[in-house]
Amino acid sequence: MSLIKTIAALGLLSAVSAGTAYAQDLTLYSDKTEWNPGITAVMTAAGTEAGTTIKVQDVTPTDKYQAFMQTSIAGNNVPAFFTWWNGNQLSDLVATGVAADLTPYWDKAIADGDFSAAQRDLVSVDGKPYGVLLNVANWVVFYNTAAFEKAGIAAPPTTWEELMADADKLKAAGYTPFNAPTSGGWMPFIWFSQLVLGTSPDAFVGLTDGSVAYDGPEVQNAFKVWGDMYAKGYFTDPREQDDQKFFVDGTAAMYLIGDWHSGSFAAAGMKPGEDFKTFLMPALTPDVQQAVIVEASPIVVSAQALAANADLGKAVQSMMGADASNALGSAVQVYNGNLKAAAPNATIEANKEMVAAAKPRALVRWWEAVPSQIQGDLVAAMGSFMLDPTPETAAKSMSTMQAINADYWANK
Amino acid sequence: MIKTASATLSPEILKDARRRERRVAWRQTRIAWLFIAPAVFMVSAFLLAPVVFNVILSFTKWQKFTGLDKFAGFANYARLFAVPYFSEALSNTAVWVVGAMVLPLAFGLGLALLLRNIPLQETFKSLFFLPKVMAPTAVGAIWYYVYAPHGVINSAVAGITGQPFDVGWLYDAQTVTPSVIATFVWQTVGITMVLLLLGLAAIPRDPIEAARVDGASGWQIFRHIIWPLLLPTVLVVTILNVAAGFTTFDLLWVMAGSYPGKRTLSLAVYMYYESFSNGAWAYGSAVAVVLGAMVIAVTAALAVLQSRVEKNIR
Amino acid sequence: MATVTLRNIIKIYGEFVAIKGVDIDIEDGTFVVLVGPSGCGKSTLLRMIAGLETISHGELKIGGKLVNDLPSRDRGIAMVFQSYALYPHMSVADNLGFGLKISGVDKSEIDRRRGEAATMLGLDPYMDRRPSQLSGGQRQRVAIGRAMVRQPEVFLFDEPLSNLDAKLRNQTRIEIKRLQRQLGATVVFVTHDQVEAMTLADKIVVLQDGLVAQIGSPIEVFERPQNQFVAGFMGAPSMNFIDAVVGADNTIQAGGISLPVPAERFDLPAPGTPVTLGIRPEDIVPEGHGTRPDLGADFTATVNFAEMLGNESLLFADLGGTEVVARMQQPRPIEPDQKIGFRIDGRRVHVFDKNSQVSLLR
Repeated sequence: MSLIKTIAALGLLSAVSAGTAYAQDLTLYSDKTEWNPGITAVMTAAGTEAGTTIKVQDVTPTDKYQAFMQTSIAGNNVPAFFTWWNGNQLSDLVATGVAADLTPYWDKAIADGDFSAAQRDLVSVDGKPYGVLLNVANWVVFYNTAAFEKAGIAAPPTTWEELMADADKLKAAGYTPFNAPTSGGWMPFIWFSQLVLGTSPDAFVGLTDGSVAYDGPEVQNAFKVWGDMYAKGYFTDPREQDDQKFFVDGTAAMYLIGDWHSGSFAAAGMKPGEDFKTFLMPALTPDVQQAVIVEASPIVVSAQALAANADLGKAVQSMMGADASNALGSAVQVYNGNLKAAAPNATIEANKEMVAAAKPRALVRWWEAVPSQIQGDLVAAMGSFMLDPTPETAAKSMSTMQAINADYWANK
Repeated sequence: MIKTASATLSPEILKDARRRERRVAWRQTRIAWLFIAPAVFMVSAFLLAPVVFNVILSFTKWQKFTGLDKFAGFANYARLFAVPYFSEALSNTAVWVVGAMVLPLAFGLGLALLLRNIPLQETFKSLFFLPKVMAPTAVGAIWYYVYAPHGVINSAVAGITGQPFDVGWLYDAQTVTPSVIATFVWQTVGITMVLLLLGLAAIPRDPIEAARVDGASGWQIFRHIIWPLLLPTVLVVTILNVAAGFTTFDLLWVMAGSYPGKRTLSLAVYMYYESFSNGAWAYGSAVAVVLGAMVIAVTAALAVLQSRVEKNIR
Repeated sequence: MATVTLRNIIKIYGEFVAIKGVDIDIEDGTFVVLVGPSGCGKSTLLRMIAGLETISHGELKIGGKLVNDLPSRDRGIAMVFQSYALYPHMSVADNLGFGLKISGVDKSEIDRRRGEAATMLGLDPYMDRRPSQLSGGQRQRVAIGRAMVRQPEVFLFDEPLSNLDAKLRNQTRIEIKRLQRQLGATVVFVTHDQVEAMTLADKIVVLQDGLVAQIGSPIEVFERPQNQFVAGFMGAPSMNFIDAVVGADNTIQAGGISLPVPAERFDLPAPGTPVTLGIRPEDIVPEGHGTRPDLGADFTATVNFAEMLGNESLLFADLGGTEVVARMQQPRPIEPDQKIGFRIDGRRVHVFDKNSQVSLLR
């Protein structure tokens, strides 16, 4: 069968070579266009350290980027650096052998006090780290302080009842309570997974390992709550493709998203900590444990590239330094978790403190935790519901998702 | 002396004559083969080989980064009907095929008949043909804004009626396929019309005049004379449009890019998502094989029909 | 069957005037041939009668009824096209029955009429074939049959024989004439071939440049052409035209000879007036061939060239600087440059006015 493999590699190579730079070109590929200036700053410094030049190339949106990376990897045409996801996504990737084991660099970084061992676990598979942290983000609810004031909300909600009551007040004050986009090919999972998480954190985990069905009671409840909220007009028009538009233009009062997004709000003219603040999303009922989603994005280094050029190790080490973290933070207000670096803005700093105080259960984001082979199909079904939030569509989406989910785990 | 045939046509002479004819024939085709060879090579290397490879793939377990060396039997084909998306994509494709077959033809024929004898017809022809010379992605981008929530159509209707009008053309399962088909028709009607005009021009004027004298009305002339004589052209156009209907990807990709259910909008899109997005290479190949088989079967049937009809009017 | 009347018919295409005011009366049951060179407007005229071209001006009556604005199907006509215009996708039977079928004639009546026509034209063995499987002559017969089954008031033929080979053309010509007699049909037949015109017509209409040059029976048109154009067009080879002057005592002076003509035949102008002398080739009789004309003039000329057709020869010889053609009956071999004596038949020559080209026949 090695003949087939060779043919496959050749075929894919010719198929994708038109759009792919040759692997030995030192390029970092990414789907994170908004962070480009920060990533470029980090990689320019890293390149200098290694005595070379590292370019940054964006491919968007996310689903297209995934397709592009898969063909590149399958065609054995792996870029030297590329942004990736942790969780299942990372273990799939590591299984192919294209990702470099970064243990020595992590050891040094931990020794230097740049990162903690716990942070290393965020990008580890079977105990070995395979990524440099690009972003460590808490998922929180951003709120527009002016809107809350106008609606007469003194303090951010701490329970679901309060949240709903505040939503009604905001609605009455002329705001759409929540900004909820479908853009980028991934955003529909945000509210779906949050509502399951608010119903049962265990079920949230179970969704990603095949133990909980997508048409089970927890999911049914999530869709019911979601549908009710749509019926009450709590969400923005899901067709808008600029995901933050309704939040930054003041249409929507709240936006549930990772705190890496604070930089783009700032870029759009909202001052972190003043124009917008954050709170932790409460569970649906008080008996459910408070949880927070932690998102960690790694930059993966090609094992081949690292083997071919030992100097690249210097680049990797540079990417893990405090200078790199500060460069990233000051350019795009994204925080990679470096312990010696400052939090890029007041919101991220506040979130760190908030999480430290509340000690919620930290969970890997659904996107990273779910098998990547069914990720997109499941998100599509969630998105269909957002565009047509009726019980019928909810039922159809649930049955579609469960069919895909069951098929995947049955054939794994 | 007058020779008789039996005297001149001896077996030896005939044999020699045949040998000479064969030699000349080979000398002529030899050159032809020389010219055909590169095309044969290109088609084999870049078309047939990938097709064969694709069929082989569909019987493996290649998924994401592994499984290329595991034989799956017909598991990938069985799976087509185990998950709901294939059937959805299949039924949308059926809508596409019917739409692509009927609509450009109906409008193209109407336009061709209208434009046949009017002044400025060259200008109109060029105008209707224009969309075809644009890249489908460009067409898609333009129409994306036509259909957008605050796009041309919604704004126009709202402006005319004075009522707020907000149809999510490209975001609603009910309207997305018809909307993209409408764009496809807009893009295809020009070339369809031009091909039909060529077909109409090839119909001799005499039988039409004979039918007029024979007492036929305008509709009867169309029904009994023009339509049967145009049928071969109609079928050629249909083959082109049906194949396009089966395989439309770019328009859907660009126009319905933000529709969450886009992967089921056609088998071509579904195949793309399964292979390139989900990494289900083997399964995607099975979808491709099924799609390819359908395209080949339908177009071959149409081609046979076409040649039969063509022969019938000669 | 019906009469056809054309009154002051004009056809214009933009600036171009194709038919410049034509009057023709066609009696019931007559065979009328429109003849003329290419571009004379004969086909246009026929298509106007058929309703395939609009009538720009004038009146067209068929059976006494004004039909200018009636569509083809209501004019009671049937047409046979030069290209036959058969429906290529239909069998012979369907070709024959199409007109009746779409007019809603019932099946048994269609079968009856179709059968009659097929038998009359010998098409019975071919009824299931398509036009492409027929020979040219068979197609022609189908085209005629298709016209017949409609039982029209008037048959129109547009150069129907021009696509047939010479032998078949003669045969079909006879067949058409026989059919017309049998049916007693009114026929308008267009051709550029004067032999067809002569053999088929009860009445010939010679057209020149969108105008009627002469209307008459074949004999009239041939024997008494009203002008030089008609004289030159009818008859093959064409009439010889020679510049001449009227001489004294009913003679015509041309090419150095003095040709006496019968006094009662022409209204000759005063002696000395230049005219054109017209002599048909058969009226220049080589010495020793045919009957020696009693009234005439002799000349001797060198034969430049002789065209031998088997039953006769055409001799090309100079008469006073103009090359003329003479017809030699029961030919004998002629050497090039041989000198031969000829005699022109003074009783049969034509004289035309030099300027108006009008015949001076009395």
